[in-house]
Amino acid sequence: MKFEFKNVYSKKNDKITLSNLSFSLTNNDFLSVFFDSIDSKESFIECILGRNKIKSGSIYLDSLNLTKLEPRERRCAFVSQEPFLLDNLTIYDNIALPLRKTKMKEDEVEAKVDAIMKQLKIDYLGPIMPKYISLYQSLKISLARAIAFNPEVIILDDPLSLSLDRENEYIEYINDIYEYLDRPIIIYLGRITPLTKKVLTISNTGKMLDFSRIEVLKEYPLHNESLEMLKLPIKDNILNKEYHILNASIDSDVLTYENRTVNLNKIILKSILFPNLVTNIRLYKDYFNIQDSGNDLKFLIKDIRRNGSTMEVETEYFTLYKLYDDRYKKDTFLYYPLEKIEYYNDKQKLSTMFNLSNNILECKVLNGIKGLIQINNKIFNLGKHIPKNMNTVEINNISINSLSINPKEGLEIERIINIEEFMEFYLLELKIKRQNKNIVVKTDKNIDILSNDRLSLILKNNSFKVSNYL
Amino acid sequence: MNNKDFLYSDLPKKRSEVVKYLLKNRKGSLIKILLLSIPFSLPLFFYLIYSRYFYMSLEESGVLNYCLLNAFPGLFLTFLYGAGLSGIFYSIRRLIFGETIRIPYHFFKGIKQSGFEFGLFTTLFYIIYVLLDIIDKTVFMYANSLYPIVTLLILLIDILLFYILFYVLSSASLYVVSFIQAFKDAFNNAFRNFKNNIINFIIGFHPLIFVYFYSNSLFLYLNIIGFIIMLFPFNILGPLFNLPVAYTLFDETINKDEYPNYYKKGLYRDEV
Repeated sequence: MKFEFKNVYSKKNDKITLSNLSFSLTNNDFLSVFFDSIDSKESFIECILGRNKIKSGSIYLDSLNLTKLEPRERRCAFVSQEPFLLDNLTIYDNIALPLRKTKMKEDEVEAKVDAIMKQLKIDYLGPIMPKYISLYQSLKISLARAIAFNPEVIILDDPLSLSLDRENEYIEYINDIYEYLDRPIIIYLGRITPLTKKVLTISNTGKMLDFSRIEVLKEYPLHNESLEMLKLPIKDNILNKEYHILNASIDSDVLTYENRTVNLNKIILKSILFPNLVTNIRLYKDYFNIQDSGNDLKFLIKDIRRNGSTMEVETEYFTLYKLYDDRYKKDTFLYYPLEKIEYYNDKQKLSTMFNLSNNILECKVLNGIKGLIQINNKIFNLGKHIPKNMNTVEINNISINSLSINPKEGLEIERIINIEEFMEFYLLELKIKRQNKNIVVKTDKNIDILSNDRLSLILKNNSFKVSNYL
Repeated sequence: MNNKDFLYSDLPKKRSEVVKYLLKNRKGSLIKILLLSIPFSLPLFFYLIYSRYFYMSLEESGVLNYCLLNAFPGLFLTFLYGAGLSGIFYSIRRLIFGETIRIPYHFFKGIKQSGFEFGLFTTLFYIIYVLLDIIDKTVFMYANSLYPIVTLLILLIDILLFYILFYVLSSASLYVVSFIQAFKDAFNNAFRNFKNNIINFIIGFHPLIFVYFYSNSLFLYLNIIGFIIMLFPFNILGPLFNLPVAYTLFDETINKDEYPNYYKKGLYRDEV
């Protein structure tokens, strides 16, 4: 499931409240949104729920254009800050109320509400009137009521603000809802919660300031206003900042490190700009101001561009890591931090350690990355869970098995790691979309993946959208 | 809004607490059930009042004929009343068990589920009642000196039958049982803690008993007023006061072993 804002433009009281807003989310995402203006916040909610027509742009839920649907058809639920429970109805009836407003049969309503209340462990509250329960419980009930329609998108208008002392409990409760609804998209307005995965900040003119993973935004915000909204200390902007790398020298396009030389024009670093942000990094001299000052190389990041819903990062700062390679009995270097690489897939954070020694790549898995990696005919288990269905991806001299079948979304390749002679790591993160029965992975090389009965994989061209992973 | 969470342990521990809670908080639902019961109970009640009036105006020789004639229209109206009772019992059962209730949906669902069964049970009771009435009138005509004793005896038998009928209906409202099994359950439970339960029953149904057995022409208008003011709410209050008692007995004698899901349903249970 994909929820996408495409160039949404909205006005309220002759004031622009959302301006060219574009971002996309997938299921299991938990987005915290911060607004600099209350009008923008209201417009944002109204646009999703269909209470107000947007001036231009579209909101998609998968292939459905929500802007063309009636509010009730949108499968988007909203939980206001104040829990509005009807005092003359029991808790059960309050939860059942929206369902009963539809043509759903009473038996189905009861089955549905029973299931919700049981899952959320509030079934004993069913016959109780709202006046007997606490404010915190009312918040829980209003959220339970919101999910009665099995929404794909749930907007929470900071209900926690009324019961901050129970934050942990409420988060656990949201987790239960996550499981019950099979990982919906949750948009939380105005607060970063322990569940927050991504953050969106919107200026008072309705423009998107930052949209990225929470960890990224905290460390590398594009706009200091975002940090102000998040109430975090203001940091130096990464733009126009000099970065220092290991001793090395550069001559024209050639980077020299000890006895090794690397032609910068030929290198395409598939690397990690920020710990979790996979990008296509190219060492374009146009973007980098590479200075040779003695033994130090300094890279100046000049440009990070945003294009619609995608953030195209064309520049990189990186550090050369000195490693001792037993194979060559020499130091070698890698183009990204090896000590710790934090991986993400759609479901969980996967933190993985890589160390290079003794002619093999040792992969220590800290938290459940799936699959295997095969280097020079040696197979290394990357995780505790070996997928039942596995395909082999051939890339140059190595083959990597790192595939797992997700019954809902088809085949997912979680990681492909390519090791070349110089031990330069090309790290890709791929997501494969189902297109009919073929699955296409977009990367920079044409790579045929051996097909099995179910799936055929072809990797082609070099377009790779970061937004898929934000 | 309460300052404290409502915990599972705050649920009522006894069914009597549930009744108090329902009377305090679910008046709307109870009134709706009551209003829905009107078409089912009103014809029988008015018929009973009218037939008593008719009976008082008859000559003695016509009383027996009346008793026989009385049975036929009364049969249908009793069956209708019984069907209505099934809706009331089902709705109140749901309230007692802490289940959701949506009137009129659940009222008619109750009728659909066990209206026919309830109709048969109440009709059977009515036939016995008419037979006893015939005995009563016969004694009145031919053995006048025994009449007060026989009348009192028959009244007690009627109340007892009515009491047992209530347990039969309570059983039928909860379980899918055979005709005989329903009576067995009723007998098994009706005489447990009999003294308290019969008092509770009489309190719950006293206006009905009053009108049912003692209405006459002199008090016709008083009966009608009494019916409207007193009896009518007790159309609901009778079952509301007595069903929890019956279900508490069923909990111990049937549910605990055979239907754990029903055991103390709607109440706090230690083991949960």
